[in-house]
Amino acid sequence: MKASYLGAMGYTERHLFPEAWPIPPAYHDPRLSVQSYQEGMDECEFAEEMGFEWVSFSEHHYSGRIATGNPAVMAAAVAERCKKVKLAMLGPLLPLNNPVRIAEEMGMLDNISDGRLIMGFLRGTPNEDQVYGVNPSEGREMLFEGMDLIRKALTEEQPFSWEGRYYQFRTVSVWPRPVQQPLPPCIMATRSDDTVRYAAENGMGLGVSFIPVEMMEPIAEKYFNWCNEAGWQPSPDQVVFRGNIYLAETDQDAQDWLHSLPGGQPRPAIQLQRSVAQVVQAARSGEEFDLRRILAGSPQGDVVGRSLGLNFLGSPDTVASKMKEYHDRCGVGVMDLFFQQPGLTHGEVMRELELFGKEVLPQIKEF
Amino acid sequence: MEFKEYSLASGGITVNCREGGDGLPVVFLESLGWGHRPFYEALAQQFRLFILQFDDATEEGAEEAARYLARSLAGKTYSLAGFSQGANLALRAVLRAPADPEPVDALVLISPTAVRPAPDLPDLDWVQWADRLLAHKERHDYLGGLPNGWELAGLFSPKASDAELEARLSEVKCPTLVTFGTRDRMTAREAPSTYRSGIPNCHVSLVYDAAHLVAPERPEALSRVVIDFIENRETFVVSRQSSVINP
Repeated sequence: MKASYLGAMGYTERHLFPEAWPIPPAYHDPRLSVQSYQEGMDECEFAEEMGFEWVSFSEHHYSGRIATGNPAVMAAAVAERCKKVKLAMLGPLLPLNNPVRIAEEMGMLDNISDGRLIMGFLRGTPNEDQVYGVNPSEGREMLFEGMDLIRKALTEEQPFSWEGRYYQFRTVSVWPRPVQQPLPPCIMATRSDDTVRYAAENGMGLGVSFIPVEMMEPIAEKYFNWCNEAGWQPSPDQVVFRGNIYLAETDQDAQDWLHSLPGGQPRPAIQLQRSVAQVVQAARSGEEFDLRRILAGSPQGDVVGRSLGLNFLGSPDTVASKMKEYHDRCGVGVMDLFFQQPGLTHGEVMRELELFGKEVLPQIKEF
Repeated sequence: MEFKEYSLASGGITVNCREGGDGLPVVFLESLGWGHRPFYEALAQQFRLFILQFDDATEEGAEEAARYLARSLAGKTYSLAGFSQGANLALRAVLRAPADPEPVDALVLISPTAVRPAPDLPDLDWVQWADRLLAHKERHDYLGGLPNGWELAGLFSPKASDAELEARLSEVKCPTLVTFGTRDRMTAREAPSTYRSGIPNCHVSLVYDAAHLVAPERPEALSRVVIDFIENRETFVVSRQSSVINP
């Protein structure tokens, strides 16, 4: 198993943010922000030194907790700091973006990193449909079309036009083409059946985030079955799990830290006004909803959100053992880890990375 | 939309002709009875459309017949289009007798198979053929009149590939649009780029989520790009759609 460091570039005083998304720009202090990006890149560099083989980037908006609204910009900067790790774009939110622009960014990143790019595609969390005004009910179809367009744009040898349902481009001729031919490895970040099947039928890897191993197991089983039906077997690098981690010297130290958090658990990363959350959810799932009733049941300040919890909490042995479960039960070959938990300082994250490199990595590399 | 229907003959070849609409003349070559009425109606809203249906688009003399009938019906200049075997015929007709001035002012080839057909065509039953020709099972009914598998296998065989035609693509003088469905399985992957690099003034359009029979699967998308191209030729790449939300 390989380890991947999620380059979140969290704002150093993110623990002071208000509950509800979006975080007002008034909380931004340029001096602290510059420091946060420098520290985040230091963490990526140190992770590479400690033996992490991937650094990942994820598009999130209007929140300094993961301050990479444009993950390609971040990956380009880290590519100059880290010369060995794979740069895993896990990833751009396709419904929010121009797919041709994403293809161009992917082509550039694979070139400036000399073939170290891993491409991932996501739909995005429900709040993020609001960022560029995407209709939540159309995001899924836009994701599928966007993926087809990007892969075509990176592989066609001659200019073409595209007549899609959501995208129309009369001249597509992406430059530069990827170094890795015909395409860099592609990962589909998903849990739902239709997208898992798409990944299997198109030779793509599977990325699953933040859920317990018993929830991932049936998803992985379907993925492997559908890959088999499609006539291929994924390599270990094609099954990625992204999880939250807090690593301490001992299990007791980890529990003490957890209990020190308000409510005894990490608070939800994304909280929305209840009415907005309900309408987004209904639109995404195609359900009918009674807007007047939703509005009446959502007083000002009533925010909702779910804590993602900690997938890996404890001493090196405890954490390695939990990771082995994901490997054995789900075939996970790459563990993409979010270390920047709320309230942790840069120094504390660096100490965790060192401990992980010395005591967890040697164990997980064995399976 | 009403289409007037009649028969025509040239050089011993009889074709069924449907005619409708007003505007610039467009001659559409069809074979195998795979024309799609909503697509034709969209074209006839913009153009004076002549649909020439050939029983066998590969028949000896079909190119001459197509060219003669197009000229007779449409006049000195016209746009020439075709689908699948009809597109192959349209390409052959343009290359058969280059004229100066060239009467074809725009050539539209929809899912042509003459160049780089799919390399593997195993024995297929009706459902397998339908799966190959259409990306969506719910549209299988469209293929009620599907010729039997043996006939189709002959038409789409790699042996039907016309090497001479590929070598002569550079001789096509008129602006050309070649369209394929992104899920087309009747041509090799490199077919679009072969046309694009071979024909001097060629544009390739990929219609998302359609297989070989693009018209019944994405009629609006196909008619839009075909109409744009016939009306604007190579300038169809310039968007004229307003981005203003509120003036």
